[in-house]
Amino acid sequence: MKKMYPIDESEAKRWREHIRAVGENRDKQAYHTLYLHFAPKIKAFYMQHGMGANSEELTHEVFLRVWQKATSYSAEKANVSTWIYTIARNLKIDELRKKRISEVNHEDYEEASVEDNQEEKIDLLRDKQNVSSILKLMKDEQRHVIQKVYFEDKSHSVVAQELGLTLGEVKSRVRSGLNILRVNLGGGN
Amino acid sequence: MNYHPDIKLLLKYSNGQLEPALSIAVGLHHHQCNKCQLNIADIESIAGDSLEYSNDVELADNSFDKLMGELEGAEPNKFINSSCESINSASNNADLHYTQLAVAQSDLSLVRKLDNQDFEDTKWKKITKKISQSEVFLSNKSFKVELLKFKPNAKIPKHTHKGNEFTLVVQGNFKDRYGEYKRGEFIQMNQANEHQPTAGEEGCICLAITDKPLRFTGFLGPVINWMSR
Repeated sequence: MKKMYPIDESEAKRWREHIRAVGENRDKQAYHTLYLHFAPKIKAFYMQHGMGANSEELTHEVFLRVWQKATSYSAEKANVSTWIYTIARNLKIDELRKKRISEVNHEDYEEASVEDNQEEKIDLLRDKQNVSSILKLMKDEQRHVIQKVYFEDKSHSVVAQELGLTLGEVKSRVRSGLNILRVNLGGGN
Repeated sequence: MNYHPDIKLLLKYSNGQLEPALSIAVGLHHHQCNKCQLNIADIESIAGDSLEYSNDVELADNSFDKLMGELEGAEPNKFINSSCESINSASNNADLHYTQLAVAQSDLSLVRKLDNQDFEDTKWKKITKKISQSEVFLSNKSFKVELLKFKPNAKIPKHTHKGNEFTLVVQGNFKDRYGEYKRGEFIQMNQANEHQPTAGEEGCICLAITDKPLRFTGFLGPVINWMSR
């Protein structure tokens, strides 16, 4: 697995400048650069989330919106990658809504209200500048399962297979990883 | 706000993995709750970072030219108008704009209606003297979605849940032995919880999402179980 963090700040700044150029000056060169960098990642995101043959068309649609909405991008709110991610995600939601596909995983809700391991409290200062530092609070083994289950949309059993773990091990790593997020997201609750 | 969706629901919501009914309820809460706005912004930021580090999947050779062809062929006004719209709505409204929620565009009108507590065209069906119901049809496979309206101080018969019940307070408030719930709060109950909610002094309207019917356990239980079917 590739290293997930930290995002290079100078790189993030470069993308912000590109988006500004697209928004303010309709700069096609900047737009092309953004496309070359992000389009293959968005297509990968859609493939991973089961959009199959529609992945390319959806990526196309994301970039129409990037052009169209570039002026509403706000650098204080989010990095460019996050902004583009939310556009891609919402298109996915619309697409699924159209198909009325049910993606609910019941197994998850049954556990949802069980607040076990709450005593496992993590008291660490959070780096506001880089949210991904939250991920650093996790061990690799926790981070990998959280990444796969929640950000790559894989079932517990698929993750178990991929990582060569038992279902029980996956579940326990998910649980301890979730506890770390619970305590540290949003500047700590 | 004291009652929020669990971290798992927030993760699934932020990654677009919830069924419409749940994404509407979590989305409404997202719109109204500052704390969850921060949490969700963090999750989205992590998702953005993982997008950066994902492996590339190549696109067709001419894909960028196709894109530019479409942009250049489009009426310029179409694009200018829509970007102005999003700027205006963002500056007129300090709240999170509806389009930023992880909710399908086709469901946003319902979110807006519930957020504005607009029930003008809601058709209520009486269940008891003090309780009315209006089913919300969302083509859900696994959930029953309904609005429940309680008159002031109405006591909701004691019940347990066969499955999961997710409740979002849309208007007014109610309380039970676990706590008091105000507008925007998100409550999750399951088999383990038996409760007898009481509506507040101004009554209460809730969005209720259940995957199995409630089981009324009090004196009139069997009758109500039948009537609310």
